[in-house]
Amino acid sequence: MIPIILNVNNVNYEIMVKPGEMLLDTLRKIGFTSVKKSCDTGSCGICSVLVDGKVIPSCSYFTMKIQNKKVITIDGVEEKAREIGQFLLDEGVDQCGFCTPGLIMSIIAMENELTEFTEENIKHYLVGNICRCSGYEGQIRAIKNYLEVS
Amino acid sequence: MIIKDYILPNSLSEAYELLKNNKKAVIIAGGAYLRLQKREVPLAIDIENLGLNYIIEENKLLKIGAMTKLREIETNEYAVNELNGMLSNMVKQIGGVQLRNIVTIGGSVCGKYNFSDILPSLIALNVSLKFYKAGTMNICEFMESDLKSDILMEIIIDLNQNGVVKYFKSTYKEYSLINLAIARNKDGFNIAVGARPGRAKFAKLSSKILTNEKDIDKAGEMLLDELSFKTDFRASDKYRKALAKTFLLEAYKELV
Amino acid sequence: MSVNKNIPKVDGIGLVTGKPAYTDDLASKDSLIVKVLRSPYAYAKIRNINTLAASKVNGVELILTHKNVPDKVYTRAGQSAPEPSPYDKKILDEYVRYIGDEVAVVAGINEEVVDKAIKKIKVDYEIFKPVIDYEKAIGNNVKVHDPDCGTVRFDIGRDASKNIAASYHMEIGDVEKEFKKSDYYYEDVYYTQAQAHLAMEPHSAYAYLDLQDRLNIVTSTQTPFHVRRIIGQTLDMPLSKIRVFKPRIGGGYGGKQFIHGEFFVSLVTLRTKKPCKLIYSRKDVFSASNTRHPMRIKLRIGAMESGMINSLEMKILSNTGAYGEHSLTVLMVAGSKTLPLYNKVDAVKFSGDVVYTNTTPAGAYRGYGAIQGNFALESAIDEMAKLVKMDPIEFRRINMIKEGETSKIFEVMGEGTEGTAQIIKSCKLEECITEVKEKINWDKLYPRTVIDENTVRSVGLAIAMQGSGIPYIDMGSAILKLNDDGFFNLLVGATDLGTGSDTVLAQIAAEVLEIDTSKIIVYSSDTDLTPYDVGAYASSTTYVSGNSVYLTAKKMVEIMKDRAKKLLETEEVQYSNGVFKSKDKEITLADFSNEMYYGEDMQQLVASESYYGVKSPPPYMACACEVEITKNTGKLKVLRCVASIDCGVTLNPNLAKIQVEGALVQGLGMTLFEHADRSEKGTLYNNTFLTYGAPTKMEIGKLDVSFVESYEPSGPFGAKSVGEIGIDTPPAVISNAIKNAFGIRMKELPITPEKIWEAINNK
Repeated sequence: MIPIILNVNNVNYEIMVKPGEMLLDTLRKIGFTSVKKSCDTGSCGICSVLVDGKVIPSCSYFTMKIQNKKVITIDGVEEKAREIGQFLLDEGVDQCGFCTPGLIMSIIAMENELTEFTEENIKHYLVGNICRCSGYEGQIRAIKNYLEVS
Repeated sequence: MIIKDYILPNSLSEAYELLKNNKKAVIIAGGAYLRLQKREVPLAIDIENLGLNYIIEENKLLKIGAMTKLREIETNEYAVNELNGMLSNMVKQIGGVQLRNIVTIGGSVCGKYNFSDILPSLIALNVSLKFYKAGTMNICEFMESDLKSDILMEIIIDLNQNGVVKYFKSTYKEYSLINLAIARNKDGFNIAVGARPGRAKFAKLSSKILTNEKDIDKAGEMLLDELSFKTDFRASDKYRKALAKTFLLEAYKELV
Repeated sequence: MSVNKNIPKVDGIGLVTGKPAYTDDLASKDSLIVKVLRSPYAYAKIRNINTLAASKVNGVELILTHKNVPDKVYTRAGQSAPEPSPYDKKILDEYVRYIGDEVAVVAGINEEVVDKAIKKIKVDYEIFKPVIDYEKAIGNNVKVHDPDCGTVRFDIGRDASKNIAASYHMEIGDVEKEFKKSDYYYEDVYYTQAQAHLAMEPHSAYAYLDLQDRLNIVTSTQTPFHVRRIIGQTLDMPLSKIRVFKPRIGGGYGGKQFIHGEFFVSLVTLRTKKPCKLIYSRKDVFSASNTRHPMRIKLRIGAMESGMINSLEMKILSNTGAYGEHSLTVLMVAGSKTLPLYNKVDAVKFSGDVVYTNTTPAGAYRGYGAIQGNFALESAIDEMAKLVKMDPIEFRRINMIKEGETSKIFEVMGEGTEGTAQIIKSCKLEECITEVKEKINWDKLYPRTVIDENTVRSVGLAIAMQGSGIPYIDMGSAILKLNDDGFFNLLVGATDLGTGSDTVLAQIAAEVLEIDTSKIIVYSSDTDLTPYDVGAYASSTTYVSGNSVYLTAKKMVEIMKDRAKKLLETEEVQYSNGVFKSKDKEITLADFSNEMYYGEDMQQLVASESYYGVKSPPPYMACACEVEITKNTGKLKVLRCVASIDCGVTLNPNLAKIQVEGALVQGLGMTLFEHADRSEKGTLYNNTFLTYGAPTKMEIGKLDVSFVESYEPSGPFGAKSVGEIGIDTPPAVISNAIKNAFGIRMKELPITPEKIWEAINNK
């Protein structure tokens, strides 16, 4: 086990990690159950968190890389999550909810990164966020409303 | 993958020493694909902190650090505006944005993955690879070699070219069933095909025919002849050949 | 008004902000980790299993093998007792019957310890030749199950000596006689694949002993009450010693309507006295949970010169894999929820066998046979329309079922047993078709438009029906409790899979009680605290559970009015919009409730009613897609998908819409993208998200879902079901569109680009 300092939501956590531990497992171990494990291959977007502002799949990111970097989970952006979440709720697309935290983190990253929010751009940016419940159409409606784009 | 020890060296020489002294050690660039392998590794050497994340243009040469993420390449102004946008296009549908924020171009090259959407383009562009110990070599040379125990630092691309890349995916971001790249520089055309399902290969004879005779149909015939296409559970060889030929024709049209 | 309103889901904010809600979030930190050693062979006998070295690994708490668990057979199927599925599964068996079948279970203090121990388990297998191809299963020398083992609760046509898990047949009239009279005849065979549910949350189960030393199971399940019964009966435990609770679950679609890890966590907790959890890996979800039943469907249809279909036959071979969960019932639904669409025939026949093979067991999956049957039937309808030289929409119009009509099939075919006759009281198929026809621009686009020499666009259409619960079998109930401050607790056994049923049930109660939905606090799916509900399947929640909530709320109004009379000292009292009124006095619900707790004549007001359906009113829908096909690659793009659904009254229009949109994409996934390829040895190739083919946002163009409202008198506020029907039409819609584009009939799912390319270029 290797001792490291992990900065999550602007708080430093001193923890012991296995050499090959993935960030997702570390985060859940510390208590951030909002980050979920689904495909375990970086293919579904469920485990998305922000590392230095970039949205990454935490299941495929070695925890050892994280030193001197800042991790943000949905717990660290509660107000923004509620704001975006309300738009999802208003369309009814928060179905089983499992994909939603990862989707919201990706929307936050997208908002900070893109300058043009066409439907094509939004879909391309968020194509890595798989949802089995909603069929995506309602999510796009909600996101457009949030971005105030029609 | 089970890793027994994990080190992030602060210099290339430190990284290389570790690698030289540990025959079974692995280099971790992004790590996303490597971690899926089922094996036990005594040491992981992570090259995260070696300053290899950059895209610089120098005298019409584009130099891309090995640790540059695919998402950075997708959006970088040179990748989008130079080479007919080939560099941006080749990474666009590799996973989603999340995956492209951690997968590196260096890791993709060194992995020599069969499914790689990147290798055909880099081969067609005749890029050079700069290794720490082995120095600079052409990508084809690297693909044929069994160079191990070295660290890829940089990929060098001549910008005096144009290129088109094509790939066939059933769903938007899954592994391609076949991918093809064609580039044109002052010397002629270069064609490479990957995911055959075998890994990307330079179509030497086909490229020659296209360069010398400008006969795209003949080049297409030769392409199917000189490269091997196989059947696997995802597609048949017959279909892959048909797609390859179609892509060659379409890509050539777009290029000229 | 609370019904027909887009009330946001009651658990929405909690879920979107990532609050701990799912099984693995709730499992205590000191839970033992439980993992399963799975068979690498498709068919083998465990000659010897040595766990000595494994048990010596420091931190291992318990190892289970077939030698130290009860030897009873049971069915894992989440169905009401007596189950129509064979009892052919043991907790751990001496035989392993598919690659992924359970060999041993290890519990330890952490994952490394467990992984290490699993590696040290030595198993000596006697390997048998497996039967992988279900078309070669019947009468095969290889028998997946010992004919002397396993039982059935009642005759389901099982014959293990022939590898038959279940079989069924019925005939109304004489199809052969009628086929002889037919002016036109068509027959062909269709194939569907073993689709994976792809619930984003892997199967998860957690168990612990509470203060009363009772076994508590927290599990990602669609059927908590069935889980309790099956565990209790198989472990010979009184059900009073078991509690099952369903927390939030990350998707089900039928994939969690069966026992998965619950037995293992139960035994580990019972024996170690410690909490433990078993979270499936994604690979295990693909290869060792369950899949849709792959089917081969033979469809025969005869019609007269007039365009009327006179004879229909559907004959099915269904592959249930290594174990027979849901074998008979899925088979029957393939016919019972498709054939009644064409109720004017003179004869109809349905028959089928469900076979065992050494592959991942098949089980419940949204549509439950109807999607497979619909693929064959609706494709055949288009074929016959062509023979009769009618527009496929007109052909359907004159043959399909209408309001006020019935089909004899309702009476004959139930789900596993005999059916229940019903007159269709609500059916807007006609209007659904009209809406879809107009929106897709059918008249202009049918059959095809040639864009250029390499590109063709076309349209295809299909209709579908489903059911609303299983009559006389599915029961739901509710308890309403009035608190001070004028709000209610609504306790329901009904299982919210994320569909929003908690919310919809609250809306029903709120509507009857004439208060705001926010004053109904729902608690669900806890076998200790909530009354019985069969669980979320067979599209039963809105209709069956909803009706029980409706009745309960009505009862509560009566009870309250009675007490209000005493309080207001009057003979007559009116109640509306949260206020009790007599001739000269009135009191608000809030004040009334406070009086019930703290006034002179105190009482806790509680109401409880149950409901079971006496029929299963079908929702209906029509769906059409506009597709674009590229000839030189075979790539098919769905440009637009238009659907119109009659599910009675939409209690929550947004949630109903999302149900259909999600189901359509899931159905299109099965039609076009989702792979379930197996090697000859039985290995599943597509066991990760990397190659399975999950549909993304980019696959489908525009989805346009709308509802045509009907009123189902037997449903709560006129509602029927909407959970499953959305998935049924895509396979036939796409096959019909391709037929309209190129004159080629695609009969095998998934309809991959290669298959299209092959068909076009090798005509």
